[in-house]
Amino acid sequence: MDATLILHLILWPPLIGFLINGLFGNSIPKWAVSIIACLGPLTSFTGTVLAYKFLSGPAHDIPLYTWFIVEGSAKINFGFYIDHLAIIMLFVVTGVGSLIHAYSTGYMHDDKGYSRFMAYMNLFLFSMLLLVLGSNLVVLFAGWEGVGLCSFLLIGFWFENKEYNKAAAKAFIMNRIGDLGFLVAIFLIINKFGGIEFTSIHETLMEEGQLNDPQIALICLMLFLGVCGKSAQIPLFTWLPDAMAGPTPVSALIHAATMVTAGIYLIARMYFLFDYSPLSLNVIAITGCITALIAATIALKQNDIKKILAYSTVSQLGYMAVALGVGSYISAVFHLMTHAFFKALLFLGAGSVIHGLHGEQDISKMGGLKSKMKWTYAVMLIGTLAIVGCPPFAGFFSKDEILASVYSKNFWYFLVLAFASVFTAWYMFRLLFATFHGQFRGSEVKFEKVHESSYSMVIPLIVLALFSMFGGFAGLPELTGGEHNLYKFLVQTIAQTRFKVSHLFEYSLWGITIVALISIAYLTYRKYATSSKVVFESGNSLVSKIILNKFYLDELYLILFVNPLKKTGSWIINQFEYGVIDRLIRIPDTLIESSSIALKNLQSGKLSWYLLSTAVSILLIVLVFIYR
Amino acid sequence: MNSAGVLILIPFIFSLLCFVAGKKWSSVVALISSVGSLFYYLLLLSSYNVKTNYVAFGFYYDWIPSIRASLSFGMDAANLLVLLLTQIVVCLAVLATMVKGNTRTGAYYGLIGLTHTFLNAFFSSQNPMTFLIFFEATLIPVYFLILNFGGPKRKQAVFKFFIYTVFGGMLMLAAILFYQSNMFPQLRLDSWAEFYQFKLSLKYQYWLFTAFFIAFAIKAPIFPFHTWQADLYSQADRPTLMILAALLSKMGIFGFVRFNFFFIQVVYDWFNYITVLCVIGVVYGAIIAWRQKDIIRLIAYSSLSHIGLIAAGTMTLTNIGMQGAMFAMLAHGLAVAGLVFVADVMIRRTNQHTVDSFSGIARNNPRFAVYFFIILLSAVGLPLTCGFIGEFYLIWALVEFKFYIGLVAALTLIFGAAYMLRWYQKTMFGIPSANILGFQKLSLSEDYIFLILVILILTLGLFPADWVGFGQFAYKYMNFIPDN
Repeated sequence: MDATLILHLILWPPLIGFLINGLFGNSIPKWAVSIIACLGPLTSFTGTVLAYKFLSGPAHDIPLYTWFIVEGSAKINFGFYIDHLAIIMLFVVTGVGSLIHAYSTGYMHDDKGYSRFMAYMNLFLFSMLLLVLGSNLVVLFAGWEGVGLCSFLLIGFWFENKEYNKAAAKAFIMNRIGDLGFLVAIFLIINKFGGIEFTSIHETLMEEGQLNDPQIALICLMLFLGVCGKSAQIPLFTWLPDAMAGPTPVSALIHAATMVTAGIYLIARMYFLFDYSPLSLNVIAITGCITALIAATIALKQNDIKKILAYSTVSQLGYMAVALGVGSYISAVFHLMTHAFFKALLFLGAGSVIHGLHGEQDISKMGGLKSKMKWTYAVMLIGTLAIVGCPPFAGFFSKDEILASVYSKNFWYFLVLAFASVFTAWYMFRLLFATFHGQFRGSEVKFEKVHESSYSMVIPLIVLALFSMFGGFAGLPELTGGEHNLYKFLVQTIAQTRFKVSHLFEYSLWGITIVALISIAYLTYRKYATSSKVVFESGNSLVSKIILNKFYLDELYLILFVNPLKKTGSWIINQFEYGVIDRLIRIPDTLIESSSIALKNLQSGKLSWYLLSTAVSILLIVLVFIYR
Repeated sequence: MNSAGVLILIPFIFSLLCFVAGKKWSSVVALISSVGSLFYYLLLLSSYNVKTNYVAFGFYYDWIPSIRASLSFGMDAANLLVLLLTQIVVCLAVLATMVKGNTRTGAYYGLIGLTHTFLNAFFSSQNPMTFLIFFEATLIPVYFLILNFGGPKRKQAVFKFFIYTVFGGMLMLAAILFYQSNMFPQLRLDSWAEFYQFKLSLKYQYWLFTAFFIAFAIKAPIFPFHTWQADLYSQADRPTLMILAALLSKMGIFGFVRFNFFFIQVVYDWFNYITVLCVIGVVYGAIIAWRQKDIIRLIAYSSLSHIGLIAAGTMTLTNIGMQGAMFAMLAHGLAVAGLVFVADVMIRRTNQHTVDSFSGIARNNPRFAVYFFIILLSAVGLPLTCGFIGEFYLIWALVEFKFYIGLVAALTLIFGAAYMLRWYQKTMFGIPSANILGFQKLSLSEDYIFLILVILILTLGLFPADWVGFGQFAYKYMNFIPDN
């Protein structure tokens, strides 16, 4: 089949869905809105399957038209690029996207902004497809900004709430800090490579690239600033937990499965460039380590079910960053994929819980929901087992691969990630047991009203659960006698050597994982499920206070950046602008005015003054003549 | 009949008609005039071929031969986009006055027409003398527009504006007279090309450039010459303000586009100082806009911020910078005209001027919210809008020329988003406040104005290649690079 045709089939349906629902959503019935909204992603998914089946060869470059040109520098195409990496991302984006759209038709059905919501979701999907399919950095950037915009619109979807609006603006602005880096990186790349298409950058690099070139390092670090914003790495991660203000499907789609992984995708896409800069790879790995650990630590103490999952996402993104940082790009993409499955599952499961409890998000007010929400419990159990890395669920394989590849490069990174894994297991089991086991900690009446969600919500959950169970088999390690199919597939795009670790290490890693998981599960079960009075963190001790308050990072930024800027702004408006600048500019004005006042006094109209000045003048002239 | 002279004549004749047409018909006459000019301009554009004939549709009048003062007009790649912007924005401004219950007197439309005439003449001027004359002449109708139809504090504001600009204009007049008296007698000076070819010695150039710079910096305005701006904007009648913010601010920038290549050495030498001023303006304007309560002042300072970036782009004297500046003039003009009209819609309905006095408009007026949002996206430079293209080129040029200056200029990405979203969220989002409940739906003409703007913003954002491309012909022409 023709690659261009497949591209059109993948790219445009969500945009069409957005336009129809956005323009006419209020005047067509709800069922039609649902069908139109779901049809877009489904068509894209079909297109992806077709691309996987029928597109042969390493890559397809499809320039649609020339977006803009600068002669002598670069021609920027509105062009697209389908290769193996793009296809894997497309599967994640359109597959998980379709499921979440279906889920949303149930979850958001009674909201008064239903059609608007579905339109935004479609627009998001379109932007994400632009991002994934772009054949150059500028188209990718367009998608990158587009997803940020949709994230803004969807976090603040319930725009009557001021807090939500703040969270939305925060997300957008912090992302834009990263985008600044991205944009500058684009200019530096044009400057250095004379082109912006991925293929041309790659070719130029192969010819004249030098290891440790400082210019390349600068480009990589600037790109990584963008990644920090989008993929919520330290120091720019604080927007993501706040972004949970959006409806839960948004958290699942944008802030867990797709948009936040865009940064990981970007680095995997530009891996050939990062390969030339070990320095920036180290920066990425270290940032990833710190992010993974800090976010996991914060997640230990949170009580809001969505916040726990949000910090968990940040932490998992840290894992991926570390994998990228040690040059194990394919492992990062593998984890990106499995993470999309199980984290979307967990978020949607959490959404189902929130829905069933009529808006309750605090796990300290839940408990014992197992009996009421059987399906939700089952899928949440699967999701938890997947994220903590219990064999043979999806997370096990990808996480194991990251740990092994990191171990092969740097022991300390490995140690940090191992710690973070222990924390992950702890907060996830805590979440599971506190929500579904033990006794309900709310009123009887409330418990009576708890209900299982509708089929449109449960079915996507089951599909995602299946993926979370079996998704990992795409990357079976050789140890199990399997073939790493994903590696074989992706290595055609990402030319990366496979890391090597001893079999002994792998076996012991598995053994330790299983023992650790069982003991953590046991401990958390005792703590959160069996005891009748469960103790939740209140932040009495200093350490737990610091952790509960997210290391006071938000406050720190407020003190360091926001407040000084606000004060400067007010000071400029009230004092500086008119007190200083205006006066300075009016110096000629005032000079003229004062001199004219002086001159005016000369012509006072008094005869005596004139006579006096005449006499004095004559005297002066005479004196001058005499003493010349 | 294809002549730049006709483009100037059409609004002039109709503006005279407006003065005598009376209240009932003058708005229609003005609309015919502006739409007619737009179509005439498009006609010129369609037959303009930049490769065969760089300066086209010339119109030359030997005004005072003895002192070699001639008037010369024409269309070229440098003024093409800004002339397009002029025709569009004047149309929109006239449309904006025709919103129900908002029509003005005949004198108002006459003055708008005169402004239009002078702007067309200014932008299409082909020699320094013409440039100077219409640089000054534009001031006259604008002065009366604000003095007669402005807000309560209009007298002080317009006086300040007048003094500032006349001061700048005088410096420029002196500079041009000095130049004229020093040039070769055989030079007829009826085109920019001759002007670029004949260069004075460097020590004079520094002085001349200073004079020109101050004149343009006041007009644009560039930090720190901007203090007249917010006062004037907040007193201007809002359809006038559309012209003021979108077009008069471009006069200064256009001056840089025209004259920077003449002072090529000076600009290179002083690049650091000038761009630092521009870039300070970018950040300074943005911070003020962020803390600003008054909507119109917010627009004024956001304009200061954007104009600073565009001016800095012209100072790079690179192909990219010039192309970016020329396109950004168009993009910023559209965005700022849109923002002023957004403010007009809000203020006209509620008679409130501050950001805080609105809340939740999106709830009962989603259409308006969408239009506003798209215009805002262009103002903050989101890809696929035309604002992005301009910003992209400009920051690119600056980063390439001086990395750190480019980096600071790129802060507009963050600050721009901050103040624009603040304005949007405060007014559009939240729970609808009491004075919003009677917020009427958009009328048909309002709808059209927004629709035109939104379509232009998106089309120019998606297909900018040809439009930006004109800039490089202008660059080559001014830099004497032969076409290959």
